[in-house]
Amino acid sequence: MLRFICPICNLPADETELTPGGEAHIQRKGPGSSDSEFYEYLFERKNPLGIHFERWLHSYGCGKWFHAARCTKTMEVFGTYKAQEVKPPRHIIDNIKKKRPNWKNE
Amino acid sequence: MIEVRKHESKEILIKEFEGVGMITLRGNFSNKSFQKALTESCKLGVPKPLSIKSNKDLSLAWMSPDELLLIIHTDGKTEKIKKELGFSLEGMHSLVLDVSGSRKIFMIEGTLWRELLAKGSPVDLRKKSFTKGSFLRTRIGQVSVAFWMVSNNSVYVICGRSYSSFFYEWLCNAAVDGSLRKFF
Ligand SMILES: [Zn+2]
Repeated sequence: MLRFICPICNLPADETELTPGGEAHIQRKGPGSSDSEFYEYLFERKNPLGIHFERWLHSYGCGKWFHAARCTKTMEVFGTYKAQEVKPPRHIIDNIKKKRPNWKNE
Repeated sequence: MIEVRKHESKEILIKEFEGVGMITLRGNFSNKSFQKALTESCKLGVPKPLSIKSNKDLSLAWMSPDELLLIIHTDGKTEKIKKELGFSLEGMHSLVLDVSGSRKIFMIEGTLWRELLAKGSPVDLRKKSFTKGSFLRTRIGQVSVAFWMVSNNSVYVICGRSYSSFFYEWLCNAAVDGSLRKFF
């Protein structure tokens, strides 16, 4: 069972109160992009066994989206941050590196 | 506020009401004019996150960083307050919407109300965490709800109208005699 602190409510939100939104930080490829870029944007998703950045919706709470960093293998949560962030913030990266020194951010 | 039905078990009294005035308010909370409109029409300021403010007639609850719920306890005042708010928020990026018809309100009375809600909800209901003035949105038995304390022994729970029959039955079932043990 996952528990995230919603960065908007500052309240622990249970997995059953949340709706998953898939991989985080996907950049839209629209008109002017090549077919392969567009294909990648639409369909290609990371599916790591390990550290993953995801979008979650606090659907039974404040109704807002947020970002979370967690490990898909151990369910360890490294932190949550606002939906407006375009990449994982410094303190989240530092926290992951502290706990998983071998991890590389691609 | 009309009592629709009630259920009494040894430890818990559940009452379902309809016709409770509720207005959804959206806007920028940090905007001075928005704050002024609220204090003028409701005599209540913007509540802190996860909390509810009340006076004799009204309660104002924090729903999200840009949404408030105004609950009108006095019958027949909803239309007047809605007009006042609409007037004072004129020209501002905001929303005033009467949602009275789409919600139901439940009053749960009895010393074991925390135990009853905890049967179906993942939130922290300990006495030190959920206090008078707290307002939480969560789920109880798969239903999206919000609740706040009325007194030490009673709580108001609101849910969507379309779920209300299911939720009423869920509550009655969870309150069956002998099924609640003092925990909190
Ligand atoms: Zn939230």
